[in-house]
Amino acid sequence: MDLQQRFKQSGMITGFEVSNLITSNRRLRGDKKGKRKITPRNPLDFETYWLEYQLLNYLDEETETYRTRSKMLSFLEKVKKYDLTNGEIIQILDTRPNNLLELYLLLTTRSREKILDQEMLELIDLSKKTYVWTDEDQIKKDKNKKRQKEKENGKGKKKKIENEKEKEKEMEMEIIKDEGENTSENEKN
Amino acid sequence: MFFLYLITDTATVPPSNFSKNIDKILKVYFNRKYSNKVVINVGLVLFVSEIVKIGKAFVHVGDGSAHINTQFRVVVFRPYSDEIIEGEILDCDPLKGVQISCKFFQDIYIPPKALKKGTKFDETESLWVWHFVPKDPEDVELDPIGGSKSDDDEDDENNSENDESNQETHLLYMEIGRKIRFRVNSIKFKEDLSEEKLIKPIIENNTQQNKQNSSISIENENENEKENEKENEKEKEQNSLIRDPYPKVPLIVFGSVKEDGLGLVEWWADPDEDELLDEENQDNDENEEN
Repeated sequence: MDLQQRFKQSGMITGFEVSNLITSNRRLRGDKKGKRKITPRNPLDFETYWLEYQLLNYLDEETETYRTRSKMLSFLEKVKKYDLTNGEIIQILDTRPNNLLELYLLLTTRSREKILDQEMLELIDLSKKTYVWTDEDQIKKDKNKKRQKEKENGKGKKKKIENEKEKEKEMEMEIIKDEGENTSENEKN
Repeated sequence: MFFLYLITDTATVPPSNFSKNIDKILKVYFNRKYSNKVVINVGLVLFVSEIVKIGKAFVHVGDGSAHINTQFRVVVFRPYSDEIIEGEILDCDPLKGVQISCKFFQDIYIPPKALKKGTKFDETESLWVWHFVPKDPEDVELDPIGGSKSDDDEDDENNSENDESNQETHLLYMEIGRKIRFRVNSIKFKEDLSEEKLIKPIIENNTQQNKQNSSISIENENENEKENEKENEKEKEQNSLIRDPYPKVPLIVFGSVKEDGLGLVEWWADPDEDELLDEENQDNDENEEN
């Protein structure tokens, strides 16, 4: 088979998707979540592990974790009115421009003529929203933490009912004990 | 920068690995085969992302392992021209220029012709230095200054030099380890670097002639051979350095730093924005602690 037949281009990816792929691959393998540097058991796998480690360092995993799929999709929808090419959109997401100058470098000559300065500033704000930590993210994170704690403590719906049944049984036992004591006292008297 | 490629290839799975989890086995097999390898005219293959099609397994006579024809997708690093990439400075060389590393790939060079106007090589520090001269007073707003604390000593030294000269020249060093932003000019795979094949046979013929012309006695022969070898090595070095100072690597990326906004990231960062970024980082740290 020719090289062209064996290797076919499928499309361009952002750094966000690459870091997501790496973390999902690690999860499927069963590696620990928080660690970046993992040594493989088999030395033949060394290069893949080394590459994953270097890629996560290069892609700045921390800012990528602030990104979510929903944020990226909303960004893509809002960007449609500027009529940018795919390469420009992906570069904006990867390089994260802060200035007009940095954005100007990424754009092609056609879009440099079309887009005004104010629209460029809007683009920069839109791109910042994808990786800025907002209050909504904090609320979601707190909710997830609460759910995990509830699972650990056992306050789910099923376990609530079981706990209630246990409490009722204890109450009944106490009542029986009290009645037994009362009868014993009556007998004595 | 990152592309997805669909590959069709056959995997040989030994009978010890016959199990239900074919996906994992095939991923591991193709990761070991392709990751961190350069495919010519394609790019640097990083890792396998998913397996698309698993064909029928064929077992050949005399061989117990199964040959499975699979289609799978792979993430490839392939920078295209006019793309802007950030990396770290690795090394400065007077012939090669500046070497940059994106941590997983380190064969990125900016040749000396593609550096900014007024860059010269400082031999005492062995670094490239940009002698920046603002032309108009209006350009002072775009005046790039290294704003980090570690540069304070150098700025003081530079200012003392500037007071002596009439024009204000800012000496901006391209230090090792700093973040740099550059534009990709071209990519070259190993087949393109085949010009040296024309030079090599000429030098080899010269060595053979010199050996034939050596003197009779053993000591003289040794001395002459050593001299001839040295001369030939010098010629080889000169020829190779003039034609191609870069190492013979399957993938080389050449970049340029000439435009405004390219170069060290420090040169173009606004000082107000740096303070805002620091404040945001502090707020994020506090939120994470809470």
